[in-house]
Amino acid sequence: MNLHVFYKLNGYFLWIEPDFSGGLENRFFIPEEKFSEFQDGERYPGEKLNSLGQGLFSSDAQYCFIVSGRYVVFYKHRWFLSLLMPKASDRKALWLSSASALVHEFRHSQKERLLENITQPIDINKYLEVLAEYVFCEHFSLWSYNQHTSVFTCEASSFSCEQNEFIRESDSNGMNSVLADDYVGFEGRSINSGYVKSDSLEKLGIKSLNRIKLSIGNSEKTVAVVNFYSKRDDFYLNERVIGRLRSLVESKYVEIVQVADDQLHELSNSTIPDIEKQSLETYLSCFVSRICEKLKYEACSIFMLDGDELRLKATNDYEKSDAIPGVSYSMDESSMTVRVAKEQRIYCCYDLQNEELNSHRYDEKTEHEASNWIGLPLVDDGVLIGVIRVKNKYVVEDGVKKVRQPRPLNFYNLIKASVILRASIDIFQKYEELNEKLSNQNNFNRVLLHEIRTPISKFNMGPEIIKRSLVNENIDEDKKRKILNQLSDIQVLGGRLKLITDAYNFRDIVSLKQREELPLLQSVVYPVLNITKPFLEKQHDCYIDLDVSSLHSWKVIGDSNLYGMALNALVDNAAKYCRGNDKRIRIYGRYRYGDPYLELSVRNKGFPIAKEDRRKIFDEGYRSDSVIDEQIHGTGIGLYLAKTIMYESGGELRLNCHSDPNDIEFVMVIPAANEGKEER
Amino acid sequence: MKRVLIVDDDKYFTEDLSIFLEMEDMRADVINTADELFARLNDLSIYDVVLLDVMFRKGSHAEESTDLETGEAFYNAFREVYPEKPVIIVSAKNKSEIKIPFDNVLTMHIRKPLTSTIKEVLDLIKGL
Repeated sequence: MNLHVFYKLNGYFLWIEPDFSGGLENRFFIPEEKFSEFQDGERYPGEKLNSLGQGLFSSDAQYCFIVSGRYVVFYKHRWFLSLLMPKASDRKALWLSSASALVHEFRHSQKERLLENITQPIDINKYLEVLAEYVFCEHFSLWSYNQHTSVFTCEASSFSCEQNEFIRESDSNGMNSVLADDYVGFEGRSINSGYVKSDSLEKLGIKSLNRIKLSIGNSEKTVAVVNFYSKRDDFYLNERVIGRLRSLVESKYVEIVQVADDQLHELSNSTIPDIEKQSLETYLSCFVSRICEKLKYEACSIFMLDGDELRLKATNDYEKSDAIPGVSYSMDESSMTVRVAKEQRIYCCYDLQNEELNSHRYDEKTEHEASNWIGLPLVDDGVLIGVIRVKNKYVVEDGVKKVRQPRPLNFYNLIKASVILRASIDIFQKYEELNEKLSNQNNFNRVLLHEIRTPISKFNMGPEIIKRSLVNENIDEDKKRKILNQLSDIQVLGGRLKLITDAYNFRDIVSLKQREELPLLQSVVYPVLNITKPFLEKQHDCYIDLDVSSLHSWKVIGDSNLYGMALNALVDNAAKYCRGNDKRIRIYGRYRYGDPYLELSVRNKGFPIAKEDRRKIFDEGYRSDSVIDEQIHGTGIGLYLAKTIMYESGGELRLNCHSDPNDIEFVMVIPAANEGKEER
Repeated sequence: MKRVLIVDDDKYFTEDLSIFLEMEDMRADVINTADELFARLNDLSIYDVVLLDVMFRKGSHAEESTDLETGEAFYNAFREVYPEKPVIIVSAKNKSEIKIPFDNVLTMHIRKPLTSTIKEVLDLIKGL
């Protein structure tokens, strides 16, 4: 059958083979303008037709052509058709009808093939290959877009590129301008228009690019861009085809997002922190390995913020600390940015002011070589805690860098993985805080038990000793004295036990504080010392030198129980942290008539308190290194308790420093009643 | 008559323990500080058994930097001089928390506080 049908497509006429054979490479595409010199209904010699350059026509034959809006049909004149259909228009209608049926059949076969392929569970590469073939484009690529970093990452492509020759992720003339234009739909431009500057594409003979922006669901945010490349000049798809392609690729994209989610789930399961067995450092090391294993990255590094600097905490990069040669990080507090500098030139910033993670973006460029390193800031409640970076795409074979077969949405997963990492770091930090609290609480309980074991032992053993002494018929003076001593000790230690348990519950007691006028000596000092003095003398060989004559019967305002607890804590501390042979503890008062406050000092020779520790010693749980080294057990609550009580009572607790660093004096400054009303 | 050395910084406790031991026809001596304890390390052969507390203030004889409690450090020093001498650790700490190898019959452990008759101590000492 001498019939040649050319189907109009994207500014070209495609020759349809009668048997639809031939791959895309062998198809004939003839630019539309080449047909402009042919007139509808005219005859042309074979030589003239061969000017179309396809060698389809025999040179000795005569042909006619018929032009419609959509087809060009050449056919060989046959005498019997002239007889059968003497009118030229009838013959044209016949050939046009035959051509239309052929085109229809051709498109139908194309669609069937497409449907057959895309309904298979095929990977994204194969899927895009089928779509590209359907629209007669030789090549394709799919780039996921990371809104956090404004970076495009190649997820699939029909060709491999060497080193940095393909579209740069950071190329301001590349796909970033697609987003800047924010176009949705068809926009065809010449490869020479500045959209792509790619030697690779030129080597492939690519001359036209069709770029389609993808979004998922109702969101207008771009999640990816798919490119279809043609070797023909100005080969642009029409809007209807673009619409279909977008819908098909978006649906596939959803599918691979699902696959990526599954991968992420796998990653998530394999990186559940074992907070009881792992340290944070061990966890981070495991995480970088898992990231590379599951997401197919070449290397991963995690940096954590330490003060103002980001320090490498874990990596499996063979280049180790030289992961990015010459790159350094610094915090700029005024602008709240992390600045990334290479060779001391800042060229990338993480903006920390915006709380939305989406707002953290690079300044036009990534800090990495194109298609090589990609970094994500790890931000917790708007505060940068670190950076995770991966090296992707390249593998080195025989000393030559080659592009790794991309895995769908590995970068998408990296973003989510970074969320897992942040959450895990958070868990570790909270666990450490909790552990510290528990450890402090355990230590507190241990010391408390240590403190109460003396009274408990006495309450256990003292009565038994008394009982055995009393059953003896001969109770001499010495035995009597011993019995009385036992009873006295039991009494003292009973009082101690009350002071210890009050200190344990001091917050409750403070909340119920009384505010009354009370004589300081009678209500506070003497009741405390009646218990504490004999105890400290016996237990610590400490002697209390009491000089409160200046206070005689002055009254103060507050709660006698709380002041007693504060005084006991200071005296107890003085005995416990006593240093040297001088075991004397001086307790003395100062007051001048009319002053708003009375002062009660507790002073002795103890451990020197360094200047930098003078505030810290009042913090709850704080214990200085020197007393820890000395293995003096304590809860670190005494001074905190005394300070809190004095503050709550409207007074203060002061540390007085003297020329002798061992000379330690704490002063209770107590509100006087009515500016020094005297008890008469 | 058995001679017992009591090492503890709690003077109320050591006093009562001494009274009990003496009631049982034993002779008890007391050391309350680390300084005295380390100073007398080489003079302790006269004792049949040592009752040793673990947690008390480090003295000037102890090593400068150590994770060991004073009583634990003393035990190590004591064992070098007296490998065969029975030691009863009397502590508020659990056995597992004490950094002392309880791998022989000569090193025993009793939890504080003691019972009112200190029967557990007396049984161990009498069984030696």
